[in-house]
Amino acid sequence: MSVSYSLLEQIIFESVHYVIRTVHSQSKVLDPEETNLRVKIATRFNEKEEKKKKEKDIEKDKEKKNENENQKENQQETVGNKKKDQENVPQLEFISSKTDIERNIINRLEIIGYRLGERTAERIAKNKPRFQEEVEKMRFVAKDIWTELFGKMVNNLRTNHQGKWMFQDDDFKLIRNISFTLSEELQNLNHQQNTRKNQQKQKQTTTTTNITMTESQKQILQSYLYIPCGIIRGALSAIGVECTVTGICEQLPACVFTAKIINKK
Amino acid sequence: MSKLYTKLGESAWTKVDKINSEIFTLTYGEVVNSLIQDYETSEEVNVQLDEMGYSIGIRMIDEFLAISEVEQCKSFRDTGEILAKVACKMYLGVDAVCKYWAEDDSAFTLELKKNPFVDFVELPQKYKDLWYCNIICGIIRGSLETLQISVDVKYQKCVLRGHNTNEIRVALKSINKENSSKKN
Repeated sequence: MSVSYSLLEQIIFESVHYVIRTVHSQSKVLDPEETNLRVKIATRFNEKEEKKKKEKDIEKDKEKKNENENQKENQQETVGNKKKDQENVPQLEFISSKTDIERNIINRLEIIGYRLGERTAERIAKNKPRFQEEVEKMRFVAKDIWTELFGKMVNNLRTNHQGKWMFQDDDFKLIRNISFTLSEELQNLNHQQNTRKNQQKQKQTTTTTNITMTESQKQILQSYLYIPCGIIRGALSAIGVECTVTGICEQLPACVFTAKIINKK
Repeated sequence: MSKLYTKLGESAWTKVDKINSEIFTLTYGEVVNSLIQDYETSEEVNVQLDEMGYSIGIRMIDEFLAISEVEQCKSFRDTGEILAKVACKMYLGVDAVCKYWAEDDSAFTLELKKNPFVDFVELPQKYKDLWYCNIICGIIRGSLETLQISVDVKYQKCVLRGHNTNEIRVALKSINKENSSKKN
């Protein structure tokens, strides 16, 4: 039996929005404190220094998903900052609460993708011969899982032969129908990817067009990439490869998912 | 008229990208799981599913109208027929039926014999009050509201609760003709 793909897409989008909403509302108790602290800190310290620190923390959190590493960083920062000034401590609480939100969102979305990937892989790999090499396992994900879930294969599969594998999809289906509205940058773009209506008309004439995005747009888009990262991680773990997966989207429909393998035996 | 709608439904079904229904069932199951984590009672989860469906419905109606090319409805009866014959066919690949019309055509029951959301699903005792596919109710409500038709949609029978078929009751509350625009 088959079902329309757009319904699946919509349900996935909606679940992303739902998770982001609930995680933010669950930690709402911290929000008024955050805003108060912001005001206090801005008046006391140099604003440039704060911005640099926040950007560094946000970047670090996005690169490393391992919770232990995050905790170590915070501890080191607390140690470092305590020496400078005791008034820095409330600022750190504010930052760590924000990373908790991010981590929560990432975890929940990844788990949805993880279970989906795991069960899909089990269903498909049932009828396949046993995988002998790592390459075969990666190809299984790139070809079979991708065609089952997204209707096409991954465009490019690369490795650095040191446990890092990159899945590049030039036209990633879950991201394709996202557009950013009310943005000044959109006025400068030549092409737009809008609602399905326009796409139906465009499908016959144009091929996919790539849109470069600003930093803020990339951050928004990042939250839609956690479920596919989870799918890859789940599929690989079902066939016996443990890894961490991160996803980046540089130009709109093209995404790159990087899987770093843990436990090479 | 219903023959026309079945034809429209089938042609819309051929135009749409499809995916295996098992994957769909898996994904939906994960989403419901995620919701259950946050709320204690099944009632709250039902409400959340309805809300999610509502926001999906608002977006979906554009796509539906663009692909299915249905004409404007002349009465609520047409709306019900289109919902059953065209929309359910296009999105779920399932033939649905409109039954039990109220006397003044203000309410009907949508019957789905096969429901892809529900394959291989069992409800544990703890969640026996859960309307598992309540998202469909939200989708119907959301999409009709963007067309200025406000409805009350409720699940009446669900296979997971031991009934024979899935039945959704759609009751018309009001049609706001002043603000409605013609959509082709």
